[in-house]
Amino acid sequence: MIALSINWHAEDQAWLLVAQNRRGLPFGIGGSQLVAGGALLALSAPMAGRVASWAAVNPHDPTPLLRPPAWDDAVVAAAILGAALLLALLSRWTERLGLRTMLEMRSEEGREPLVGPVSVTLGPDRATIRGATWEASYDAALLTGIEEPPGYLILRFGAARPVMLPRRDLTEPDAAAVRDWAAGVLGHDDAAP
Amino acid sequence: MNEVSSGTPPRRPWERPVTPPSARPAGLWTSPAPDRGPVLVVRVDTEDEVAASRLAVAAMTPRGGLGSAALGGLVMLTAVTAVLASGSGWKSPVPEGLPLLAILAAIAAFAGLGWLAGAYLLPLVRRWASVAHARRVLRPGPDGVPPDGGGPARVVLGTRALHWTGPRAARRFDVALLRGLVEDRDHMMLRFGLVSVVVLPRRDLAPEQQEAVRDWVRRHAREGRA
Repeated sequence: MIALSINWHAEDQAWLLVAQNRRGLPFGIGGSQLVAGGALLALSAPMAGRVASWAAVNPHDPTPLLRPPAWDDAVVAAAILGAALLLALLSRWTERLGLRTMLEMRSEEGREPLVGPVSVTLGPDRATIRGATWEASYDAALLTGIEEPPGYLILRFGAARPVMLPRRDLTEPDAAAVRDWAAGVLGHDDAAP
Repeated sequence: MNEVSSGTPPRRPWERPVTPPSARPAGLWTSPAPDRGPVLVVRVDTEDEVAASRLAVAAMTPRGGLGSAALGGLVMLTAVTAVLASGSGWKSPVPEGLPLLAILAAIAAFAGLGWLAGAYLLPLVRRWASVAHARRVLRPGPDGVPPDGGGPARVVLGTRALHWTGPRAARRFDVALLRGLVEDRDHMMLRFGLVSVVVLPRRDLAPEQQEAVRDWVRRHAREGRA
């Protein structure tokens, strides 16, 4: 039986949420939306130019509306798309910052399960994670993996059920014990070919 | 019905005292366990979790197309300004007033297009992205284990907390964390804190149980809109 006392900070959770959110996609969901919006805008800008030069010059003469695509259209569209892509890449950081702020705000009001002191108990066949206002427990057999990104140990009870252990709250023997526990639980999987 | 005829107030059959699960693992429920409230039994599969993830993303993003309508109008305004600044606009022999009307109409048209994009097209993109993402993350493992190990889960909407107890996983959220309820055609989803959710498929809930969920949320949610 391993008993750990850890403290979840808002920035840990913001990092984990953004990492989780980006899995399998080049951007998170917010980033995809930025790119889609940018593509729409890039399409509409040359159209807007044609409509403007028709409406503002001579509404009786529709020839500017039918102007074939030209280099300047491509430049404008590329500039807009480039800006959207840049913003989508930056959204990893902006999302993280926004999530962190929201988590901090909510935890100050005592409404956030993801922030605060947490006790983690890893037993032979059950893992229990308990915070001040919530609790979760899983069959040890539901463990699908252990990950070690810099600064964290992450136990996953299924892909969408991560349990984050910040390394700063774990002594080296603690971390070794958690690794041993995970290896023991996953052991029968490793033994199989 | 016979309960009504016997003169007692109509009892709601799903509201009965909850006895803690008999074979609970040691150390699992150290909190004073028995809690009264409506009891639901749900089976959550991977598709339900995908739907929950989509609902959560939809609930977290603002609705409406006012922002993109403003952006559409701004794009046209910029284009008109560029044309006018280049010195080619406002030339005779255009009849008086017509270019101004045409310009205003063009700005209004682009604002309308922007509104359509923001209110209808971008939500579709968001929906597609969140579903694609959730499918990737949640696809069942090699042994096909659904989230939380599957099986019927017993959900108690208690006076102090929501208790979710499945055969292989369990969780509890105090009512103070309850943020609100999101519903669509097939699911009811309770939100706790910023991102934690409990999804209840409607197929497992009788209409009066669904009303009990709404009632419980009305009593405990601390934020107006979910």
